[in-house]
Amino acid sequence: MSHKAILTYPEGCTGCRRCEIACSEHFAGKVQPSISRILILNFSEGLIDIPLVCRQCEVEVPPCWKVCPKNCFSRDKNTSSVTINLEECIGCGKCVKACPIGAIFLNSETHKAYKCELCITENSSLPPCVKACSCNALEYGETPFDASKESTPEKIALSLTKKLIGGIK
Amino acid sequence: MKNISKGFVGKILEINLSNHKTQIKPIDLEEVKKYIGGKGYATKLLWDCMVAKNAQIDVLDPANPLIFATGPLTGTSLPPSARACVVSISPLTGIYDDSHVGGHFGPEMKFAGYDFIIIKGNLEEPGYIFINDDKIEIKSAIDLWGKDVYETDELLKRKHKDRRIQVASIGPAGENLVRYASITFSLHHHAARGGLGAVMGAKKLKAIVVKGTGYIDVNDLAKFEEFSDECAKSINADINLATMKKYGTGRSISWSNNMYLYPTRNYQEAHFEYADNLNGEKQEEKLWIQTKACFGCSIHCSHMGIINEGPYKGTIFKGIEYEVSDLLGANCGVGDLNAVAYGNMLCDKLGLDALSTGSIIAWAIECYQKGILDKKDVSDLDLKFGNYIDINKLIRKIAYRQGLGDLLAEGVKRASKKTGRGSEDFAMHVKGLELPGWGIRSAPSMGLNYATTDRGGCHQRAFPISYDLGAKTPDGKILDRFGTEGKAKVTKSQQDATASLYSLIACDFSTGTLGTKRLIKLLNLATGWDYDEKEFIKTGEKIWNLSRVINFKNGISKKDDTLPRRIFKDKISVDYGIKTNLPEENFIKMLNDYYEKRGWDPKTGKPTPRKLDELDLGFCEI
Repeated sequence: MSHKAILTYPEGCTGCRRCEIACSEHFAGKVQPSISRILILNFSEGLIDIPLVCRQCEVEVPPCWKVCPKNCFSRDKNTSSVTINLEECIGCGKCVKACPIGAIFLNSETHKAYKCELCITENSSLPPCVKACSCNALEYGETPFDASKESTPEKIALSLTKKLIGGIK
Repeated sequence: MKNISKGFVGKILEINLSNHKTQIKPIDLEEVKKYIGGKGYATKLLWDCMVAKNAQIDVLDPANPLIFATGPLTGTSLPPSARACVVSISPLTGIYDDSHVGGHFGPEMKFAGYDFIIIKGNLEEPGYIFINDDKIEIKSAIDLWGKDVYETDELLKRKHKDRRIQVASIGPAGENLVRYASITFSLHHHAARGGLGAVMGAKKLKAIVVKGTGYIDVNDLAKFEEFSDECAKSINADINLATMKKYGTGRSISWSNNMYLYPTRNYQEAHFEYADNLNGEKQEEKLWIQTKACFGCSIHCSHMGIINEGPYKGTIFKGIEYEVSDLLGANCGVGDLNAVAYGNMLCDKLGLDALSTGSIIAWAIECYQKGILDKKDVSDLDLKFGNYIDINKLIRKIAYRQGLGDLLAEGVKRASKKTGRGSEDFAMHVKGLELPGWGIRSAPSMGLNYATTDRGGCHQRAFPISYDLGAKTPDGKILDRFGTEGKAKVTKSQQDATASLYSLIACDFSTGTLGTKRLIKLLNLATGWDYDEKEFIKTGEKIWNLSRVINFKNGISKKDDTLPRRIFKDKISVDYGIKTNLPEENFIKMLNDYYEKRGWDPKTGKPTPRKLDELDLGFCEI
């Protein structure tokens, strides 16, 4: 069941956060990075920026889905993104804790979970965040992915730091 | 209630560290409009703080306010919208200082709900301020005191279990009240010039941490977005910025050197034989491993690198920007790229202004060479131009005020006054601020600018060098490079425009591409105001005059509008074996012309009451 998701290449990320701006503008019509569904996290004294975003796990039942007491999760027919039915969401936060990479968030005002939904519209075949990225750190593409086997941003940052300065330090 | 303050988020946060009281006040938009925001309104806030005391402020006095300011374009979707500034009275110069930074702190401040933060009073024990939207706490920083800025940032992120907080902190230099200590924002962005880190140090304030969940509302969202998109396209298409992206500000090193603008060995020459070793291309080829950007910016001008060989192997650093390459490189006679990168990293990490640091070390080397300082005075260091091992040792000594470092921590004006024996003639500063890395004997209008800028010797308030080098002036004239004619006019008009642009707050690197007209349009779309170009520039003139009044209140007079003796006396070599200085009489001619253009009293250099009235500054008494 291969499908597309937002792929991240932290080596290229400059930490400019145009993806966060684009995401919050898409969802709320304003610049508000705190509600962005893609977040840039900074590590290693500023050397590494890791884009954190849901990879729409290619498993039958992703970890977030598995723990939901209200069965809010489903797979979008068009994009195959893992989506949350907000009417059913009770804001228990179990999915937030279950995601191995931390790509689901809880809205502090509405107390509903939110995550990347792969915003493909009739006008655009690319999600706004990918479109906004000018440093080749994001791609809308296909790759097998299983979040339960994936590293956390901290671990990715650590191994990338080692790779960049490996053999020197 | 509807948020009426478009472009702004509408609040000023005032924190008194002495009694731990915080106050959140709505901003008076009518009043802000008179100064645009950013630098301009922060200058007015500084003035208001002074008037309350009705006298000169002692910089290390609890009453000296530290003002963090954002502008109406900060945190918007405009590509470079990251800028913020800090305004206070400088521990180095004793006068007005505004120091600007990029990074992510300014936008975060606005997301937390504050356009301006005013910090007054002093803490009794080291502390830091934690701002999380409307929750404001002063927390203990006893465990952070003594840590460098990288450790401080990481420890705070771990403590708050949040990698998204933005930190402004000081290093050991600020704690030890080095008069040119910097405030470091978001790890690699430094409000360094003028030493406002020492103001934080005097307040025992180790850091300010900010986290915000809000947003910035603009007046005409659809039009703002459309126009900001257009501006973004211009920025992405600009070939000039493509080289900035690739080579950073280091792209100008070889050019400046070839134009005899690259101060070398304490400004004794303006051409460095090893400059090509330091330039952006070399940095890109040998050092850089990552490209970085400020909030929302697509220029990506900054770079991080690692030293691959030699005694400093394994050091990770950000840079080397043009100015640092000169002051810690050429001006100290160091042509070794790795050594300059290491010195750059040391200054950043310890919280020192790398420009002032390089300048004062060069002065100390010259003193030692001339026998003005002896072996004991220089803590047994082998001080020589180019001896980077001992130069880098001295950087640490300055941050911790050890041995010779204690004298140098005072800045070159105080150090040379104390040392005497002719060392003041080659103390390269204006009003106490060490000169940056653009030579002025081959670009006299920049000399006039250094002599007259609001915060002392600074290259960021105007950059009229291009007119010295033959670019047509706005009124279509070509000026004589080494002459005086027409220099005052271009210098004044750039200073005025910059004061307004720094109130938006615009980034210098995008201003060249976008131009003032487009930035004014963005200002109007964001705020709903109706600024035209004339009023915009006039407002800059008002800001410039207000800081001038503040400076007079703090003891500046006409005699301070001058340049180091070396510039008047000592000649540099330029093309074809020609040697040139900036003769004092030429400088005075430009200065008199400048006073006239400014409407300042030619005898005293003070803005006349008539000028102040014309600029709606009638409330200022001088």
